[in-house]
Amino acid sequence: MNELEVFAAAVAVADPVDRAAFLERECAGEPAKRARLDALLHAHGESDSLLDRPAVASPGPDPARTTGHDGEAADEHETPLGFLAPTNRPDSLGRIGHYEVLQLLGRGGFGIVLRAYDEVLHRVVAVKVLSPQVATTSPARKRFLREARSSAQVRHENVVQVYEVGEQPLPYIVMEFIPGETLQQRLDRVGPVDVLEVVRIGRQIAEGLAAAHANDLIHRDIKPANVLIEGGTQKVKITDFGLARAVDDASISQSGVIAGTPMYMAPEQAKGEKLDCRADLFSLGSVVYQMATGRPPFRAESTLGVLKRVAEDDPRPVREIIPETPGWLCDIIVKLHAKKPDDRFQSAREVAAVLADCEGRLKGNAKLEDFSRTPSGETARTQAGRRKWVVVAVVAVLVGVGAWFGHAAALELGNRSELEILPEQGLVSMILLHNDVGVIDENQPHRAVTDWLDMRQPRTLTLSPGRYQLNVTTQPAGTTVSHYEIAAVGMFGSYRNLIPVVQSSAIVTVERGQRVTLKPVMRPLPVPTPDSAAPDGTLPAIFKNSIGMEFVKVPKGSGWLSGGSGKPGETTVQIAADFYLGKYEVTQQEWENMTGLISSHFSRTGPGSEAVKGVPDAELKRFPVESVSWGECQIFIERLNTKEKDSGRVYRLPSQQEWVYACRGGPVDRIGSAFDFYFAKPVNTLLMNQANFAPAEGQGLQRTCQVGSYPPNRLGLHDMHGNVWEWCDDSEAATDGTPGRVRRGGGWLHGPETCSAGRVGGAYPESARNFNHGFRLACSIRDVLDVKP
Amino acid sequence: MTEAIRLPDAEAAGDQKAAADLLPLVYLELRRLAAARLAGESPGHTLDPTALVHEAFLKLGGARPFSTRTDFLKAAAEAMRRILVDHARARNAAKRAGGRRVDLESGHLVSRPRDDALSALDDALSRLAGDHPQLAELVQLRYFGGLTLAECAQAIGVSARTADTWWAYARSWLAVEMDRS
Repeated sequence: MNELEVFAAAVAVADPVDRAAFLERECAGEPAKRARLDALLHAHGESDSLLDRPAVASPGPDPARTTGHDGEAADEHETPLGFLAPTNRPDSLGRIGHYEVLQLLGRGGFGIVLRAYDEVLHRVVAVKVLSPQVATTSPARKRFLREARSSAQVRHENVVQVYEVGEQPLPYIVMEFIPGETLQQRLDRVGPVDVLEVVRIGRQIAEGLAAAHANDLIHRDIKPANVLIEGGTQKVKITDFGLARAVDDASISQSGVIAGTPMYMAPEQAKGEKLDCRADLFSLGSVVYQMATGRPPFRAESTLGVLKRVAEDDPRPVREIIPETPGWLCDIIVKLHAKKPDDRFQSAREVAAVLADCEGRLKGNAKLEDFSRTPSGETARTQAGRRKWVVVAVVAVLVGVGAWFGHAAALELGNRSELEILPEQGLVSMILLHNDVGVIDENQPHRAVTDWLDMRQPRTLTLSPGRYQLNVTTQPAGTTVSHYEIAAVGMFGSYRNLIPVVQSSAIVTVERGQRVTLKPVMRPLPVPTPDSAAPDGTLPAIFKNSIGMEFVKVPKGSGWLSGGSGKPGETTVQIAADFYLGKYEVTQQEWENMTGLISSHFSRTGPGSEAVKGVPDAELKRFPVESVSWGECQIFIERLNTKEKDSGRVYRLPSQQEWVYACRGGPVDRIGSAFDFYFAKPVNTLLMNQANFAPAEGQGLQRTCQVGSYPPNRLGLHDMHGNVWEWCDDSEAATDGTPGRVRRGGGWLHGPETCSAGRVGGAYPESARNFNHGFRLACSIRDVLDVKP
Repeated sequence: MTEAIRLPDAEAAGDQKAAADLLPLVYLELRRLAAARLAGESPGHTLDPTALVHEAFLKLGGARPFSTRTDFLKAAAEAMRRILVDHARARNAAKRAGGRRVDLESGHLVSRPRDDALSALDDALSRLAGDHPQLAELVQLRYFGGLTLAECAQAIGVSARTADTWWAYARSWLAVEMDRS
């Protein structure tokens, strides 16, 4: 065992005698080792290490952030109450001012909360005392007193009333005692609450906030632990204006110190910007969200993570968690959660009015039906606010020609992004998955954004930026989505492109503040060609061999070699006899069947396993084999020929002349038709829906993909351009000492020019392997060979 | 099988350098923020390193793709370590020079731990990096980067349990090392 292992093992032994015995054994005859371990274990036992107080704080139990009327459970015996004056009452723990302390309710905020009896006014009160540890520092003391004075200004039934502020022996606040529980405790106990309760509690918080805001007070720390629910009356009261300050006292914002509980913080708070009352409305949105769903909207493991999510992400839609949540409630939450204060409700009064209206309607309709998406209000002010709200929900449809208008609209999107998917004939539904590892939920990289997206009408989704995967779930029989046309407009310009559909899904990248429009384009599914000899005795157009490899007939004729890059072909080529060429590149499964080897980079055990983690086994088997050398290909061919020695077939690598000829779709009569790329018709640009390559825009797959994922050329050959380079035989040209091996077709790693028909990959060592290189087989039929002169 | 020669294409292995590439950017941004915060403040004003990292993260992290989050945190931890340690050393030097005020150029961040302790930690941490680079990385992420242990584990790519063991050992290792010097 090395030192770390011995240390870890020793730490695991709790009993000191056993531990000593263990060390005795481990360090027998090595006093230096023993002394070293003793020192380490001694240091381990020391509680006061510099490292225990990180220079940059990570979240953890932070008493300054867990406040509440009866906040955290606290033990009287652990909390020093020595500051209390002696008392004569047997049931009292001591006195502070003219208050007899009866009970320690909790610890939180800047100190402790006590239940006490007011000897003068004969009532039970809550007394919040600044803890002795922090009372000695002047900023904390000042802050505590400022908190007390500011909250004393507010008198409202939904705000805990502050009665008195004292300073001796420690600063303290005397306030209304509310028997009951905090909203946090309620939610911990019961989980999500029903809609009427959400609205009732939300409305009362809004009313309490409206009263505070009327006094120019921002609460700054609205969260479930700061909302009390009185037992019996169920009245809701906001407490702990712990961070409240007058609006004009913005010193804390300007000092750059982030105050408040990040989980419920508004984005402008998280960014340390200047706040106004609307920050509380964002926090209220988070509280309402948590009531409706049972969980806070912005969660992450660290403070940093929470801050980033608050500032940038949209929370998971409420209906994904609780599907029966009425749409209008979701709309209210979304509006409270607008990243820009201007997009929110503009006052707590307005929120209270909207919620009161909802509450009234709900009480009149016991079935809790989704009565309206925009409840109507009473005052002109709410009406005006609501019109804005409707406008926010209506999204301008972006079409390509409207890009300039879209540009202006995109500027308004800020941190949000919008994705619009246009309808297409026959397309019924889709699923949108978030594809961004480490952002939304690190445990679920493929989080479903939508469970089901009705595609019969245009759909616009407001999304956080990231990579999304779009899967079609229902499409018309006999057709499939071939690709999407994408038009994106963002702060840094706009572009149009095509996104391929590979293995039935497409990946779309949505940038911050971008408005992206997708139009699905359908193509018919290929109709299978019958696998049999033609009646006139000519060779079949296709055949499948003993291990399931498919081959396509390439008819004899003449064509042009090389060419491309704008230049016409330079050399004619004569193909004297029909031959066959693999319909696909040789797959990993075929390779494994014949050689027993697993060679590929992009396989379960290869170095690229991470890149194909989400690929199902059945599809991965059909990925092209790569990282195979020329020599290994010869072994494969030899074994296949041995296996099929009686079939009349001779397998081999295609010559590079055959490869180019077949790539171009067979006979090419005119020199002018020597284009770069050959699909159903020859073209000079390679589009993303035509082949697996690396376009300049960086939207490529960055790996190989299942063979046949892209449309074939006119002979029915797939992936001639891109996916992997293919080894070709060049022995005819090898007389002058050149290696006799070339590569054709380019790979997933390359740009379009490399994947063109005319480009030839240079000399490569026989033993070289590359994760960008594979092969496909050619095959001659012995009868045909015999016919040759 | 025949001897393998892997000839990677140009883009093949680019990710390793991401954190290192980010470092100058993060470092400059943190320093810039510190300077901006100090402008116009009274002498002796202190800054909260946590708030600085948060702000730098929002400013820099926000403009970058999400995939670089871990890279950012690694770079921020490294940058914050340099800033805090440089500052601590500068103040130590100033004290020896008779309490002369240190100008902003040498950093005016105030950190909680005593300056000499921080300096000693930095030295010890560098020695730890020589023996156990991953343990040093863990300490740097946690102490100067503000990550939780679980996040450190993820960033380094080990299990939470391993990170826990490593942390306990590194903590003791450093304590012994700092005690010795």
